[in-house]
Amino acid sequence: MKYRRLGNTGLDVSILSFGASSLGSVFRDINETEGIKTVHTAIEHGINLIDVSPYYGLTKAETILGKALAEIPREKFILSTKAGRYGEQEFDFSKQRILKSVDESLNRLQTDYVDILLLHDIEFGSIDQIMEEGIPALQELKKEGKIRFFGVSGLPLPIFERVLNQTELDVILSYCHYSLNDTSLLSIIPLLEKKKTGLINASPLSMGLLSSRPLVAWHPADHEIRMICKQAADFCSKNGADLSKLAIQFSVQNEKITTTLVSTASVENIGKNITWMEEPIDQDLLKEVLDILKPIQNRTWPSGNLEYVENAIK
Amino acid sequence: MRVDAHHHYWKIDRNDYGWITPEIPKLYRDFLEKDLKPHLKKNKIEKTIVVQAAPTIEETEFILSLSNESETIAGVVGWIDPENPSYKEHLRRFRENPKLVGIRVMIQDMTDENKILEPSYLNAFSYFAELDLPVDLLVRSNQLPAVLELLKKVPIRGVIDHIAKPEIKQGNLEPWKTQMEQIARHPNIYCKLSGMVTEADHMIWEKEDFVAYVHHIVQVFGKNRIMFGSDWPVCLLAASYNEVFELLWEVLPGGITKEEEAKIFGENALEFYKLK
Repeated sequence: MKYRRLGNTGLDVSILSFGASSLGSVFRDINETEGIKTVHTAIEHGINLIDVSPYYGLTKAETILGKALAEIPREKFILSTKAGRYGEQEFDFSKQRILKSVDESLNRLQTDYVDILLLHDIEFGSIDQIMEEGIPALQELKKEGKIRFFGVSGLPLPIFERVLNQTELDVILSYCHYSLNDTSLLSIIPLLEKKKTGLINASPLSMGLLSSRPLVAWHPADHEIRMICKQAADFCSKNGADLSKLAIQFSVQNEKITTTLVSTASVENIGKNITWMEEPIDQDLLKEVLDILKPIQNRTWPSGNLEYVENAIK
Repeated sequence: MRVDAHHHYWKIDRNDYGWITPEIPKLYRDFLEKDLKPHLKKNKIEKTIVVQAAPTIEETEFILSLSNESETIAGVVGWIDPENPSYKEHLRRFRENPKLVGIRVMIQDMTDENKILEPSYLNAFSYFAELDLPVDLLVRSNQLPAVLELLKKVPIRGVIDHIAKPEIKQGNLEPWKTQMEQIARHPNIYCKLSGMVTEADHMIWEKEDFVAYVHHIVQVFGKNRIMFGSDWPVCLLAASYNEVFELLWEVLPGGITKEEEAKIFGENALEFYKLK
């Protein structure tokens, strides 16, 4: 496993990291024992960053992850969780809720601190509340030692510029913006470097678009994105290759993308991801797949409040 | 003026939308005007017709209340139960609000569609006809014989929702094709070019899948009795709002004039719902 330095935090994180949303059965129903084993396998193979949220499986993911981590020495892993999102339509970025949220998470995660705390999907919140209450809550938690570092997460890239222009963040978490079909995350790297903000990238498979498995019903991508990604998956299958493998290799190889979260609750899949990551990428296949994906390159989908939605469908 | 003649708004915790369950996660959330507005703006659609999504008096009251505060809702198509003796009273009350433009009958959900030929329904349809009240008929293609019978008996001012949901996924045209031709012979009946993507394969539809169906509707109903409807947010199961809007432009037959376009994408709906 290779490691890269996460912004100014001093943390060296594995370039492939573990996203625990799958433990909340976000993508499919999971077996708890298998989920716990998957976490252990990830850590055994050198993965040291694990990210979760109280929203995933409505606290189920944190609870299972807590059980899995209870057996592992605390210094073996860097733990990241979130606060502010509690349901499909439930958001609360008030100071009081964030402070309470962390205590609840620590309890479920069976630990007394998290390394990173992120305000979750901030495009759904009021920017004023996030700046006036959410961020100060994070600063307070850091002073108290309940969290070591903090930041924000979300889909529309302008949210990061907006927050970083007003305050300092240790880290941001972006998803679905550095993968084969969308590399728009690169546009904010100069700002992150200037501000010395760490970068966590998630969803190298674009939440299942870059896979030969059937897409989850809730996937927000429009029809053309789904069709073209399916063409790419079919093309890979026909050539005896696997689009998911290419996608993982693509996302981890860029030195500027410090770490990439993959989410799975299967021992076999986490093993596969780690093996794939260590193999060299097939450059010819990559070129052909990028050609197939060209018509939808960097196209995203609406998420969050009106202003971000308008921006996404322009 | 460009109009979306068919879509819904809902607020999940109102709790009477029996069919919108957590098993359909894409639809199991609130969909309100703030969610639709950016799509309307992008496609230059000024007004919309909001159609009932739950078979309750309360839901119609809910969408009417939304329409009171809305700049974009031109009209509301509500619901009443013809088998409830007080339906005329409900309808009278609804119609006090000028935004109530019609009533929808959900034939699709009936275990036996011949129910619409029973006295309670026939009386209600006759009452609607007397009022010249626009009636939306939500019907599946295999229920069309009952609709044909109804139209022989009562001259309603009606619109067939979602081109009567033919089997687009299977590519079947008959007997839908013949029956729609027979329905179109009734001059008071219109047809909504809506709800089509969700009758195709949600994942792998192509625009070619819809051509024969749309061309047939245009041919038998002509260009004065057909109207674009998005069926948003239900359409999201298979396509984005923009994709549904663009799809219809792309599959309409060639040779349609600017004026005819304006009718299909707005004027015909305003005319049918008596909003002109």
